[in-house]
Amino acid sequence: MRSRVAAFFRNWFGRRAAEESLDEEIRSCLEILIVQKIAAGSDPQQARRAALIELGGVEPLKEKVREVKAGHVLATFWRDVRFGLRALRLNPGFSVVAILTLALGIGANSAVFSVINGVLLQPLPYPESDRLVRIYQQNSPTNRFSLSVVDFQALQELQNSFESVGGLARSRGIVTGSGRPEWVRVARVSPGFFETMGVLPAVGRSFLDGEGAAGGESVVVVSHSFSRNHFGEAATALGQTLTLDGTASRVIGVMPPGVRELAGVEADLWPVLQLSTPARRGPFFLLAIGRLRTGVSLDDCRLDLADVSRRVFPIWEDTFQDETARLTPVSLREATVGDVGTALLLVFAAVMLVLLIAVTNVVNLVLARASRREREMALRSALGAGKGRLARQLVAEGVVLGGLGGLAGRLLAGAGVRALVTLMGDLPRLQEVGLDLTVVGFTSLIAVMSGVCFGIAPLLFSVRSDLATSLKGDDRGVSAGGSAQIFRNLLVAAEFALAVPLLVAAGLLLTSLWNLQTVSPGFDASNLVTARLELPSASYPDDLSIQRFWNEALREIEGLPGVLDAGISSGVPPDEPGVTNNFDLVDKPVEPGARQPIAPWLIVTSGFFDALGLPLVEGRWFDSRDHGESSPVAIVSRSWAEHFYPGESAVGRRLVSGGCTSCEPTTVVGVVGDLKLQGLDGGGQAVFIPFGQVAWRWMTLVARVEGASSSGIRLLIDKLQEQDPNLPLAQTATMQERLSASVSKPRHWTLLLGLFAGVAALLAAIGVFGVLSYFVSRQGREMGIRMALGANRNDLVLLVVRRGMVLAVAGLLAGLAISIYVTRWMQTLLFQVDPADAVVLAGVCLLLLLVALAGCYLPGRRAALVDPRQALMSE
Amino acid sequence: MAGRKTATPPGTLDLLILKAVSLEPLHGVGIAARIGQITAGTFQVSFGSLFPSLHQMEERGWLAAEWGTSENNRRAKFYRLTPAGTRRLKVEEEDWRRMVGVIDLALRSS
Repeated sequence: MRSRVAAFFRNWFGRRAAEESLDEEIRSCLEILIVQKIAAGSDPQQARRAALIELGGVEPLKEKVREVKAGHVLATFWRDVRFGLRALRLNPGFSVVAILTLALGIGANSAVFSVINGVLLQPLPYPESDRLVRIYQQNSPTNRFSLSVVDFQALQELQNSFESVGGLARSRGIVTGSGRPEWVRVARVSPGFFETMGVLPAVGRSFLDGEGAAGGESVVVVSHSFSRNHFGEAATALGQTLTLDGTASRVIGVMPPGVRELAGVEADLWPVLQLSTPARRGPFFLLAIGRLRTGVSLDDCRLDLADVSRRVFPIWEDTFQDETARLTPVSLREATVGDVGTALLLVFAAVMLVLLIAVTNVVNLVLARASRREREMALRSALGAGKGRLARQLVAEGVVLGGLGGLAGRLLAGAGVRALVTLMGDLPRLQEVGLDLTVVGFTSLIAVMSGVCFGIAPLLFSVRSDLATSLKGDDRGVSAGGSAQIFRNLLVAAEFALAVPLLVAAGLLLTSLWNLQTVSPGFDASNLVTARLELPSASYPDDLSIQRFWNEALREIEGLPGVLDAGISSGVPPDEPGVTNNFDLVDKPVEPGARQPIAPWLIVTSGFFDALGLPLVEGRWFDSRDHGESSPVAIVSRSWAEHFYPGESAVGRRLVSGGCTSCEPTTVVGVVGDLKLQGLDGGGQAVFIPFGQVAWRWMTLVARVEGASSSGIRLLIDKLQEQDPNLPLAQTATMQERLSASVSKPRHWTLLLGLFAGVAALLAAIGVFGVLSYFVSRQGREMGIRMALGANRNDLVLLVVRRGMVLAVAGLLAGLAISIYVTRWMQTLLFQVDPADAVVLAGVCLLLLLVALAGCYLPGRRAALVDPRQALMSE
Repeated sequence: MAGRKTATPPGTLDLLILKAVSLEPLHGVGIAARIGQITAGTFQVSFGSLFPSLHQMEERGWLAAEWGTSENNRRAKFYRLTPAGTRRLKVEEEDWRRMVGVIDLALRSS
């Protein structure tokens, strides 16, 4: 055995020498035989012939010896690979198209797979992340929401399934003290949260249980980058004080570098969450995470939590009724990734289709080329290569092609992943996406598999066992007609069929996007600017101070030249409703224990309505009658009124806000036009409360200004700064920017899918081009005959074009059938578009027919340029 | 060479080659001739089986090859038995005799 291995290395590294030695040995034996035969009486020529026969031919004999030498298989494979490379070099047109096609298909696939891997497949970056669970309240199969303080405290005290539980309240805050006031992302977390997640501060410590009690010292854990920006090294940050929202907080820990988010919430600071005993069950703002005890399943947990719900909720019935609400566990991974999964899978399906089309194209190209090599194959066969040997060679060539395509695809994938990450910036877990080993393995697998396909395809159709016919060079061998041609035609038709669903999906998304962008948000968005501001509790400790600030500020701002109207609101169109509140209609209450309706609940000044230009449908605006001492009033939107009081007037009706049965009911005094607050694809229901009666810290200024918007914003900022120089920066944007940002996600998906659909159509065109080119080049003689029989050039062109179009139309029809079936489940991604929209389908058909025509054009022209005499004589 | 010319029985070629070169180093043609000789002309070795076997056995270390001059002054590759080859010859010989004995036994039983 050892000597075999030694022989292997000898054979491999001394290949040329071994080959020369073998040649010399066989030839010397031949010589010896000849000499022997001459000595026995034959003449030289006869002796030579007899000797050759006895040896069995010099080359075949050498081949037989080679076959048994160690390392033979590898050597032949290596030789085939080199041949394959050379063949590709000699056929640059074919090679470039084939490799690019593969690179596109494989590269796109790998890039998307990377994203899917990072976002969907890989486990979350926490220790034993499959035991992490997010606890929601759920009152219907589709409605989940956050926990209130009551729920969270009940969870902490009564649950049995978790070894630890943590709560998180996210917000934004302002850090002051050192230089410019700065916005930061804040995640207040309960003691035990870091332990639950399994991620502890690298320097310092996490919170003690006692620190979660209300009124205690304000302590905070900071992120590594925050610490670096403000305190320098992590160790020096400990013990320092920072001022958050006007409160002094002591830094007790610094998170490890790279930790920017926990439980899906990004944060720069993690102050301790301090909860006091609540007075009512709402509001609902806490994100709760639990780590399951070993051995406890999600189902066990669900039962346990349902039990807790049953015990606790009835206690708080007066402030919130909902018989069906239960605390529900959802695995953290599912909670984080959510419904992104569907969209991603859609994209993955699209990419798979493109890959399939790409591989089909290359198979077609390979088949076309293989037919020209029939003679070569026949020659090799005559020289002693067995069927198996030829097969191995073809497969090796295919693998070379696949390998090169895969390599190019790998490069493309790297760029693709970076592009995708930039494009889809709002996907959860995007920072975990990278081109990792799994994907490289995935790419390589596809490359090798497609390579084998390419090798085998010609074998199925091209290698004839009838040597004589092949050697004669009759170019119209098996591969030019019969089953091979039918197969190639089927492939092209299949490409069109596969391109259709992609194009239809892209078209539907495009239409949906268009609808979204053109739907009326309920107001005229031009010349509107917004500025969102939080008044720090230190300088504005109560409602009165807040109202005083804003009343003054609004008066000043409205006095500015160029400002037409200005108002403030707690929510901003198109997709920030602020708070949604539950309510009960006094004259049409819901069943006791049943779920109360909810609606966006906005606190506004009447200037808000003026600035937006909302029409008053009924009743009156807010005015000086509505202040803190008077009865609570509200204005509702038109769709709210139509929904709850169809055919009647909503003015004068009363409702109970927030389940507070002991409070005075609110009276509806007016109805305004609708306004989009829950996204452009959402409804228009809303309830508005006067700022004079309820003040809020977070408000957005909305103003209509004349002229350029950025200078308009500057005006407002300066005015606000005048009112209080210590105010932190406001978040500003024009309304147009907000509307545009609101559709950014659908825009991304549409772009992505459109890209794939475009590539698919392009590949289908290349496919039909390839098949027709080949057809024309092979049917030269037939073309000549036709012309001799009287056909003119146009007839020939028509012949070619008709052939191509038949394939395209067949594929188109098949594709339409597929897409009508498949796009049905896209409904959730579409806005006001029917999946079987006739315009889209017709448009796609037209586009593909044009594409097919483009693919037929060049071959058609080539057919028209055929010289009949040459064609007839060449065969 | 008279007598029936048949190919060597399967599995015996190696044994015959080892035996043939055990007496003196030979080149390919010479080995074929020697095998014909020591089997009284019964077995005719085809070069298509001989040369592959020679190379295989050389790789296995039972034969060693050297370039030399043939009887008619031609350069040729000579194969000789190595010590490992000698051992191998003995082993194969014993295996053969044992096998023959067993078959014999089987055929003689009624």
